[in-house]
Amino acid sequence: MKNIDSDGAVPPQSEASRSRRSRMRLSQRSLDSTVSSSPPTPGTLTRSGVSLAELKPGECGYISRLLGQSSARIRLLEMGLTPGVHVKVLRIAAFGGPLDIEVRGYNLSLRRDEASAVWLSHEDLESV
Amino acid sequence: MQAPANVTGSSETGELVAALVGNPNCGKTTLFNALTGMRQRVGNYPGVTVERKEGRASLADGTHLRLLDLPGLYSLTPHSPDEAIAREVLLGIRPDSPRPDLVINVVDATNLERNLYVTSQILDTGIPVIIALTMTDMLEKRGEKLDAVALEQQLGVPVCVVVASRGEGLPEMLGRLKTPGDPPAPAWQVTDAVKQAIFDLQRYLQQRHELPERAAFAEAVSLLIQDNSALTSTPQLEELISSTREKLAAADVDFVTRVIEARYAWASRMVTSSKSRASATALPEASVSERVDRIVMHPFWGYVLFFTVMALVFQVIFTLGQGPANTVQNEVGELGRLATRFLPPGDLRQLFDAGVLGGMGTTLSFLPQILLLFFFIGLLEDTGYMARAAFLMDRLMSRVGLHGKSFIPLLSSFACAIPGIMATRTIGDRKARLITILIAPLMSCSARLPVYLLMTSAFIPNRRVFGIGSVTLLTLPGVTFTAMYFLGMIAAFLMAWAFHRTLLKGVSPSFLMELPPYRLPAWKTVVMQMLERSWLFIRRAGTVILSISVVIWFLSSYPKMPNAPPQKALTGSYLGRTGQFIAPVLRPLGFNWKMGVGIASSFIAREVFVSTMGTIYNVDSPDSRVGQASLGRRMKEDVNPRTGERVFTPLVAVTLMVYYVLAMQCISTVAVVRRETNGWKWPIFQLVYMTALAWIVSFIIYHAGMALGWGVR
Repeated sequence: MKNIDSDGAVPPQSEASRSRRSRMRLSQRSLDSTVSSSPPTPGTLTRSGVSLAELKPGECGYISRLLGQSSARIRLLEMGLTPGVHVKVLRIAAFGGPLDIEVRGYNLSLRRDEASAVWLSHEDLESV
Repeated sequence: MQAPANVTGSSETGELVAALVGNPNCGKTTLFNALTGMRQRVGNYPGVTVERKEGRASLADGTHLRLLDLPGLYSLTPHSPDEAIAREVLLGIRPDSPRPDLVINVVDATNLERNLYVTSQILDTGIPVIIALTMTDMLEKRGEKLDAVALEQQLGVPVCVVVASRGEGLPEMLGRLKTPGDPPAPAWQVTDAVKQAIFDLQRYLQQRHELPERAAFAEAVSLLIQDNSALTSTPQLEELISSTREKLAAADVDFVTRVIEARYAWASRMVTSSKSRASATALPEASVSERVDRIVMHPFWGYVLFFTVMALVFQVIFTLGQGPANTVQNEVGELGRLATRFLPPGDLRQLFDAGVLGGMGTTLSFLPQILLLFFFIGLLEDTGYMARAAFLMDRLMSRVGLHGKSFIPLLSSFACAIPGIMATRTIGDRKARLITILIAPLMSCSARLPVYLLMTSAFIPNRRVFGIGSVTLLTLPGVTFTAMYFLGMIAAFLMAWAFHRTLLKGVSPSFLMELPPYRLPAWKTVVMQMLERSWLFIRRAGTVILSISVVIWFLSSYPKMPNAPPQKALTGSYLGRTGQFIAPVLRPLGFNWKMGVGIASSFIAREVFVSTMGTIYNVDSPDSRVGQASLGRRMKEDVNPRTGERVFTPLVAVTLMVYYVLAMQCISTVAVVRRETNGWKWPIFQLVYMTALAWIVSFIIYHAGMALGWGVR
């Protein structure tokens, strides 16, 4: 786990990450109109230092690590959400409902609180 | 791993035993049906509501194959009862299942990586494996190609391409079953640090339990991950496990993540070495599914579509199901008249007619609606729409501890709670499923309709509530009707919330759910599933309904009063006496002993209330329109002989309806809940809580009404 912690993606409320996030939101909004009409290309709006729950539809990232207690965490890992894997949020249900994500070539839905245990990192991070 | 002595192995019967294992939605059921045809048996594993399916397939050499269809699973690490049982069957540690000689692992070619994750776990068990590769046609449509021969070489186990719906590849696969070869040593690798840390444990298992090196490694891994193993635990083993865990923690190794990653790394190597793009120009199939999802799962149009689909489905169930339900009951009645001719008049004839045939008629009258509902549920599941519907409804449902998939069972409970409760099987989460079962009977089912109709038409003045000009849009009876439906819904959600917060606290529900690509339904699978579930209902619930019907018949006909008019005979019977006995309990609700008799007799089914009232008030055919009107009139005219006050007032009528909204007045539901929860604990709890709730709310309504001066007598 050491190498994962060193990417500086941990504190969700740090000044740096907050400003980065707001910048991401701006750029995302401006891109929205172009993205929605054409098939989305993976890897364009890559986010890091945030949890999966904070992503908006069309955004993606690479998993850095999973928080939480063992049973739910093992389940997420077993469904293929392992460190280094690319995930993309396809859509979010109304009123803050579950997320529909693409991982390892299939669609998985999970609730917001489950998604908030999944942290994303900069790049395709070497995990072993 | 050692096989317990009580397992009937394949050697005894001389048959080959194969377990069918695979992810959900991988085409496993279609393959099972194609291999076994109608030669299958469906039941339950004792003590749990996990469906147990077994079938027989003929092999080319004239021998038979015994096929165990295990529940669909994503992993052998047990997270649910389904997965725990599948694992136990595979390891041969369930006394009720034979230890399989080999595993037929169904693998979905369009989702190879995640499907192979389970394969890596199966290979670890050391049981011979043969892969049935499905959905290769879907893959080709996506413009991708999978080289089965290359995959076979990489995996080291036979790989057979099958298209089960057309029967393609099945003979070839069956031909290879007897020679699956030795299972290869699992090829997934962990880092040296992990290997070193678990070496002691592995060596202990190797020596003490005489496991081969690789099997000992696999067993060590599963012991460290889940404390759940085929091996009987010894103090020495416990000691080794905890010391190994300490070693891993000291080395800062996240063992679980490393193991799962290693399996996926292996799976992904298998994929890259066998998969290729056939043509760059072909339209990716995934985007078709994705395009459909943009509408189906749209935050606005998705809901519009969902409610349209639901309205259509339930309209069909209502209109197509109601007719046959009445026909079935009439036919059973005819049968009764026919059969009773051969019986001498007297108790035996009555027992047979009212008790046995009555019970059968009740059971069978549910059948048309159950068949239709399961047909549609099968269709929605098989096409992939069910998962989308659950996705859309989850937010609303999760607030009270339910699951997105709770919505359809609850909605179908408006027709009848019996199919509704049976439909909760689609909910994987145990807690959400139990809460759904507990609250489903609060939805106003069609059996309450006669009670509501009688009460509103007789006692609720037909006054205009709202309208535009001369057009009356809302009348008081209409509003009362709607209020009863809403009362049931509100009570259901409040109770769900209460159970979620108190009784079933702690177990956190999960919504991890695959959204499978849209597929054309496999009709055979849909129909088979519909028939299986309906048959289970008849066999299990039917017996309980039948025996209780006989008991109720007995209570309502004894002691015999040969010359008494019907209402005297009823009120003098044990059932009538029970009604009078419970009358003091009902008096605080404004009910008299006649209503007590009505409530006691309608415990078998709510609509019986109307016919009981008909008997008490001496009205012929109270079910007909004329009969109902005259029954209503007589009930209105009924006065208390001591006080001279009217027995029924609008307030009493409303209170009685509220009682029927909330009370569990249906033995068939009790029987089904017993079956679905595998025991008497939950149905009895449900009966008690619903009766208590009904009493308390009725009490509040009656006394609030009296205090507000609505109870004019």
